[in-house]
Amino acid sequence: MFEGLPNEYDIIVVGTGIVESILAAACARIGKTVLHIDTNEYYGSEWSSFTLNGLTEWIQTQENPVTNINPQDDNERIMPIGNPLNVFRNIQLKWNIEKTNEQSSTTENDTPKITLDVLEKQSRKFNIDLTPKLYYATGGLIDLLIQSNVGKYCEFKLVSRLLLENNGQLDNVPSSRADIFNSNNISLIDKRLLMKVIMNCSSMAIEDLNEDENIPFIEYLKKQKLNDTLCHLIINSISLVDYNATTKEGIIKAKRYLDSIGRYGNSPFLYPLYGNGEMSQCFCRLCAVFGGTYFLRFPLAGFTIDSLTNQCSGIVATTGERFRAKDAVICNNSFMESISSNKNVIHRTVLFTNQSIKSSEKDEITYVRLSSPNEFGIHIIEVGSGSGCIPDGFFLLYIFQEKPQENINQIVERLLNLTGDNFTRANILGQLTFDQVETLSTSISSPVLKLLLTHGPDGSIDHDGAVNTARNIFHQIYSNGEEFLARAPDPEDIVIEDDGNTNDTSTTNTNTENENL
Amino acid sequence: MSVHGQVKIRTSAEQKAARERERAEKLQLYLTQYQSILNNRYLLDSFQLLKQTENVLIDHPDCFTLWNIRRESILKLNDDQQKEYLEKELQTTQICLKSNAKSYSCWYQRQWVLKLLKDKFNLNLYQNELQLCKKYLEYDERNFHCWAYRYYLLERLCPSSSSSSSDLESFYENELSFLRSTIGVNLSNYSAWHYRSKYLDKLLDHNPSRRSSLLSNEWQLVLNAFYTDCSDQAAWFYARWLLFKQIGIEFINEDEHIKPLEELDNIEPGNKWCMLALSQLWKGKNIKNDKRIIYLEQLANQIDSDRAQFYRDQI
Repeated sequence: MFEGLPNEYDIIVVGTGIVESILAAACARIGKTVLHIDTNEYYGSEWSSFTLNGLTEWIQTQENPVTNINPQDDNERIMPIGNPLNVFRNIQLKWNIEKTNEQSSTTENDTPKITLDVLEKQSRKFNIDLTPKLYYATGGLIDLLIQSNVGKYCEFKLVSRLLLENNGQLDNVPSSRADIFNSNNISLIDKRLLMKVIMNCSSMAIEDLNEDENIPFIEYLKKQKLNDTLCHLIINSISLVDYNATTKEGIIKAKRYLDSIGRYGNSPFLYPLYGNGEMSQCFCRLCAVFGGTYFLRFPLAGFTIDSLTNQCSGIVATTGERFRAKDAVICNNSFMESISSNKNVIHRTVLFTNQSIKSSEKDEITYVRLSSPNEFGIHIIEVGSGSGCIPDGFFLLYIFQEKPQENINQIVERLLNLTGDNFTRANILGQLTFDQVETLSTSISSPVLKLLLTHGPDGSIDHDGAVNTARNIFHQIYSNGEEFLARAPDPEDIVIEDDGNTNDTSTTNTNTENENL
Repeated sequence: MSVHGQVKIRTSAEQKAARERERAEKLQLYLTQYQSILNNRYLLDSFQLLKQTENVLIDHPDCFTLWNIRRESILKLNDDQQKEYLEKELQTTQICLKSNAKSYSCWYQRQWVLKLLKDKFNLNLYQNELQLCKKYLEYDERNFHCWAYRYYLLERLCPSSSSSSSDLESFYENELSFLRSTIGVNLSNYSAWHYRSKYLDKLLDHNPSRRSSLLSNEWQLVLNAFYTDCSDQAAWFYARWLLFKQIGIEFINEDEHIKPLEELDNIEPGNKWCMLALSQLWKGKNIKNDKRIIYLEQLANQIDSDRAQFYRDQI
């Protein structure tokens, strides 16, 4: 199984989630030898996107016995991995449609009802995110993609429609000057007050807040004479914070939102074409371009620890084969045994529907945030076929909460009340629910030296924190001024130069090459 | 990786040098071609000149002399050929516009072509041109060349005064609604407001009975604009035209026109546009108001001292 694979590297990375992939790319970029492995047969770990059949397989293969390996000598200790499949719990997939149409083939109905096998035939057109996220146009991840030139490996679509709850229905979020001008729901004076607050949030320096910094954001907004509706607009749909957030938090996040509008269009968010799974993959691609070695379905048993120095020296496969890492082993903390006792979870839901929650003439990617003074934010993302994630005529509706509070049925009920006759329970063809262990806030400190732990996502809508985590870990390993993901060169600037002997016969050159080897 | 070659990545100095070399080559080529055309201007026939000038203009669309030569060449052709080449000219200019969407020469050439084709009026042609304008306005909604061209097209497409009055009215209204949606995308679009004033004028002339309702709606639109963004001058200029040139002083009333501005002034003290508008309105309606002089002085001395004399003249 391991023929031809070298046993020694500068860095070994375990797991192909976003933080690990950024790190693998960054290390390969500065010339380090990298072995990047994953126990799954797909890239992305918790960030993967699955086809419809892939999703069914994933649900079924949630079993993985842990192998015990004996240390090879007294200087070595083995730390086995925990069951990484502990990350996802309580997975349930329920379809509201028939498997096939055979039973009802002779009815008077003109249009055949949708059946599961019709969807399964188009399985490849699905890209279902385990971890749906949106990307701020001026946020850390997009900036990193641009700055490192990794952006050329992926494409994005604008999240074209931002909605909020207003008077029992879903309305557009007015956040730009044009939106506010065209809105018929806001009085003239309120338009002025709202624009004033928005312009202020954009242009002010945080230091100017002084004493206001720590007062609740809602109080600060009331001081600007905004009514309840407008306060809710800003807290819920522009700053995307909870009602107990401080003014400082509210303004920082509002700035990020407002700065991101206009960069690529009239919305601050981007969504990756073909789903979030693409994000890890493009960093892995860069790593491979710079010489990184990839091994999926790696039969990982655990980590080898040097008993004398208590430093992690590498990894060991279930066959006993060992791979050494000179500088460090980077590992997603979901591989640690302690994960199984972790109680913090994110409740995730994916609804398969055949109607958009709000009709539109064109293909949209929609984001709705629901909240109120006493609850944490609920994120809802809807993608249609334009995102490359689902066949024409169908939609994926992702629902998750910042912190687990309400149960999914209550949330779906609430959504159905807002969508009216246009979208009803009959439009929900299937429902996938699962719990994802939240590893970001659980600060698992690494039990040994030279084993650096990364983390998965939390319940928020963006994941720009991933870049800072990756950068910090990178500088922990390489602290002598190495650049973190310097810009990769453009193809035009790569020149293949001859040794100067352009007209010489090939034999002469080959001999020279051989001598140099 | 080739056995003989080595991979090298250009440094930024080398990138710059490579770019400079490219530019120098391009310039040399242009000068050679240009000179050759001028030398042979009276020696070559129309077809050859048209072909040669086209090659140069595609990359360098702003060369006025070459367009001149093209016009000369086309005029020398006989009627049938001329029509064919005039229509081809539309395609050529379209390609050239890709290099520079704001090229005076290209837009002028298109107008020239349409003027010559005028007698052979072709509705499809004009509709295509309108579509082109729409596309270019999507790229840059403030391309004034495109706006002027669009205005010219609409003049030609406008139903004549002998056709039914409702045709003409809906024509104007369609345009006003297009302009409204353009302003809806970006309310700073000065061109859109400007052409709105022209079409409103035409509509009012055509149907004076709708005067008060049209003007009332227009006032609401412009109020909406400066309540949304009180520092945007396009809306204020339009408001000034609307109030003083269209509505007229006798029809300006306190409730509809002056009160909303006073309210805005309360929320946004120190806004020069609002202060000026109020000063002019109070004077126009003979409203005795101490604030008027105070505002004008503030404007002259502090807020907009560049135009101090303008404000002092009004005191």
